[in-house]
Amino acid sequence: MTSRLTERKTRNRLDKIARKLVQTGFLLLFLYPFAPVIYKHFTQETAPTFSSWLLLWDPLLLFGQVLKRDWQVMVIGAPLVLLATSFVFGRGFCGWVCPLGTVLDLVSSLAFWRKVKKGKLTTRRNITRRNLWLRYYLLAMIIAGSFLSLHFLGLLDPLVIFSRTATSLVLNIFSLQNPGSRMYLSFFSLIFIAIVGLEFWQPRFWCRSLCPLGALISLVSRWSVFNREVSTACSSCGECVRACPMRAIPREPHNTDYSDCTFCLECAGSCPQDGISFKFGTLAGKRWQKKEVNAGSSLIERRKGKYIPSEGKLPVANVSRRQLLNGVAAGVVGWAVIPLNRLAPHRTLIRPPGALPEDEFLMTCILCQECVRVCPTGGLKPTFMEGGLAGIGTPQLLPRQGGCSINPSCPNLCAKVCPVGAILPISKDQLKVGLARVDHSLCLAWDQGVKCLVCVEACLNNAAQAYQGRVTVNPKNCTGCGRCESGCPVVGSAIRVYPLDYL
Amino acid sequence: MGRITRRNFLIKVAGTLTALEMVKTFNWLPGMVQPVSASALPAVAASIGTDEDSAESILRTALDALGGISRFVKPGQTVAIKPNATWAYPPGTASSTDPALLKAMIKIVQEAGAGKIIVMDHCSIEPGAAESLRINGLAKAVKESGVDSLFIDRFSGPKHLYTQIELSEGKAFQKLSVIKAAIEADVRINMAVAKSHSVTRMTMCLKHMMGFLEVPGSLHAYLSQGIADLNTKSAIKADLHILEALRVRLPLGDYRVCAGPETEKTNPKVVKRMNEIVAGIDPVLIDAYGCVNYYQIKPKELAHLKLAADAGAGDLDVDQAISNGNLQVVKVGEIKPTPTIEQANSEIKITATQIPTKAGPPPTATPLPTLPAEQNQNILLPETNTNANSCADVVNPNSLLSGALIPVAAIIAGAGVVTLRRKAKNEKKHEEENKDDQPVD
Repeated sequence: MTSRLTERKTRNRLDKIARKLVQTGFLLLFLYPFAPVIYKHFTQETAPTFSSWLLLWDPLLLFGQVLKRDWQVMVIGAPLVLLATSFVFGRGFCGWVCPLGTVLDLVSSLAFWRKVKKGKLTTRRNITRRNLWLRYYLLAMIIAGSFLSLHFLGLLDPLVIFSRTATSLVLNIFSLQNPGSRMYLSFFSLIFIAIVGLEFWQPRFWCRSLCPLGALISLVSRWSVFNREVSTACSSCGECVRACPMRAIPREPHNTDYSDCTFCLECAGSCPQDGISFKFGTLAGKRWQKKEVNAGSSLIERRKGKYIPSEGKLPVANVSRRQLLNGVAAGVVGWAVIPLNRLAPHRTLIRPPGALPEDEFLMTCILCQECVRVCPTGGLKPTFMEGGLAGIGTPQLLPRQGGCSINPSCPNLCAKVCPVGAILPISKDQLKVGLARVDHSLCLAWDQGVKCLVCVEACLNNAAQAYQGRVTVNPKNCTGCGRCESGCPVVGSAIRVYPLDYL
Repeated sequence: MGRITRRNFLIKVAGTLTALEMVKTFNWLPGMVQPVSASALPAVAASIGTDEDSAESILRTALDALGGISRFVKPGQTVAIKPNATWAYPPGTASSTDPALLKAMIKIVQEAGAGKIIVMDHCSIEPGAAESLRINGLAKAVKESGVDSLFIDRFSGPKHLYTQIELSEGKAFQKLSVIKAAIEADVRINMAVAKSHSVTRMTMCLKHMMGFLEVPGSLHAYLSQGIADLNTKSAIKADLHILEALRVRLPLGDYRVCAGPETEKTNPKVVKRMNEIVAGIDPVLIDAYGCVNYYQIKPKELAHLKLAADAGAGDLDVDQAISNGNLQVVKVGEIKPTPTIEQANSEIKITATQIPTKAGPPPTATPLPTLPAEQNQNILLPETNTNANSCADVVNPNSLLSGALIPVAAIIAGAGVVTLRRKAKNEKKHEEENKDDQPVD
């Protein structure tokens, strides 16, 4: 008996290590598209550019786009696979694959006050299953809002949050030249920092109570084929209930809420009787049901209750009227909040080439920073407050940092990586994002008669021309690519690109 | 050591300073190796080849006329070679240094026994260093030669790669930030290409030194004076200048660019094959020779050239240099070139060209120019070269996965449904068989 017990203990420990390895593996896999940036930084050599490997699996983005009907840019296959896998393995994605979940698990190990001493049981007390419905309300809000705008979807989607934070970290360290834009990038990583902060309060609080993607997966994972089995060895000590970071085990240890369970195997490790296992199969498929105990039953029965296998029906969530109304209210709020985007005053900015019209762009961009990451000249930078509140985090072209190089060489990278089609592919002749203007009081050629003419040298369209030693811009030829501005030797640049409708 | 008195201190300081001064000017000892005097060997040598001659043979001829590479590179020294790697146009367009020439140069320096060779330059922002090097073929040349390289993206080089130097004789610039590795090298070799330029009219050795700067554009405020300052005595001064005129990029009316997709075949008016290389220690003389021979203009007309000569960076008078043997013109194949004056004169064709009048006085009140309606009508503009420089395309699995994964999703979900149904059935049967089965004992 004891040998079998130790054997299972070892197996549990191995399972835990295996999960950590799988999680780290996926984390590294999703971070791989950032590797070329780092590689370029150190070797100065060509490296291929990858689009995100993570965002295309996002079913939440798929749902948002279905409502927005941007069919031509939708990726259907990958998110459907994720949902199908959730049907079989429940929220296994959240426990084993999701990079944000992995980061939270890594951070969670820093919470020393939650550490359990050897030989002692879990320290966690006051286990409640409150707040679990918040995520469905958030989901309702986001989905309803998606009819008009993907803005809040981008703010709250965990995969987008992760991708955005990773981009800001990697670019801050390895690729930015202008320290001024560091703040821009870090600012909206605050959501990420807040999520990590919540982790110190309650383990996996975000995943359990707030994550809208988790909520979406929960809708499917309720019927998870993979199962948690509690054997008859269970003494109802409640240790697994307290160990579960997702609080997927209700008061009855035999029951499992598969809309929450991420199959993280924490409960199996915590069980003093080693009565918990995870598997497919007949017995695993049983969902136990507590029965009323009659007065004439044995003492043990009366103390622990009586269990029978459930009817084998697919469990259906009990949605109370209150919860339903809450969800509807959240949806209405989501819908109602979106037009605030339009109210926010914004100055027009130079958007990436091929970006949708400004209003529509603000509604579609999910702030994932993919275009910022791949821009070969580094000219695309996230906006801070220049575009008003609604514009925070949207990409803009800052020619001083680097012009748009779609004309000679860039194969329209920003349009190709955009996961929602906020930037559409254009040909190089269609480029027209702004108009360069010379500040005569700053320009060396105008003000000092110096034959500087760096802008003339940089211009590929014969728009900046030297005429009698001065620089003039031919508005017909100028595409606003900003190569002139990026090269100007005057501090702050004497030739600047302005948006087309700027007066 | 005794007490430090004021007297002791002053004596020691004076002694140290004297010693340092003596070490600094290290030719006071009898029998010291004196630097090769300019009279013994020419300062500049121009070698003229034919279409059949390789870049290497032309280069070797020029260097031999100068007294061999050993005059510049001693065994064990660190050598910084600065080719023109700025532009992303393929070889043959006279936009960047010819890869074959760079390889030959590296080979020659290696033969001289150099301890370490670093090839360095700043690349244009567009499309970035790596891509530029791939297109102009220099990345391959450097890789095949197996030497170190330091090609920095313009504006985005890490700060630690640069250091500040002082130009004691500089008029417009006294301090400049340059590539650190170039300063640390014992020998600097400046390999320029003879090209036209929109601002300075011509780009040759003097202007090419700007590639060592952290922000090459920074000189543009006082460009001509800045170039002259850069070539005065300083830590960055190059020991050997090489002007590549295998192909020369000529100005064509208003079309004066320092790089473009034209070749000698597509636009012979812009790119001309010359098969010449000018090498030497006097950049001003090299540039002056280039002006006279390739562009048919008087050296004095180039403002930066004149300013550099005024600052004492070199000699502007080509005729005089040839007559006193300071500039030798040799043909490939001539083993010991000792050209007479008549011979040299017959090589050089100076043609008086009509020189456009200089721009008016510096503007005080700036009149708005009226643009002519159509410019550059009669000029062959370069055809757009779309294939030559394309950035690496994005690796995007989206389109591929989208279709393929739908059936996969269907299969997984279908398998799930089947398992679930079967399970439910089994459980029902199971339950009927043992109705009293209880998990809790």
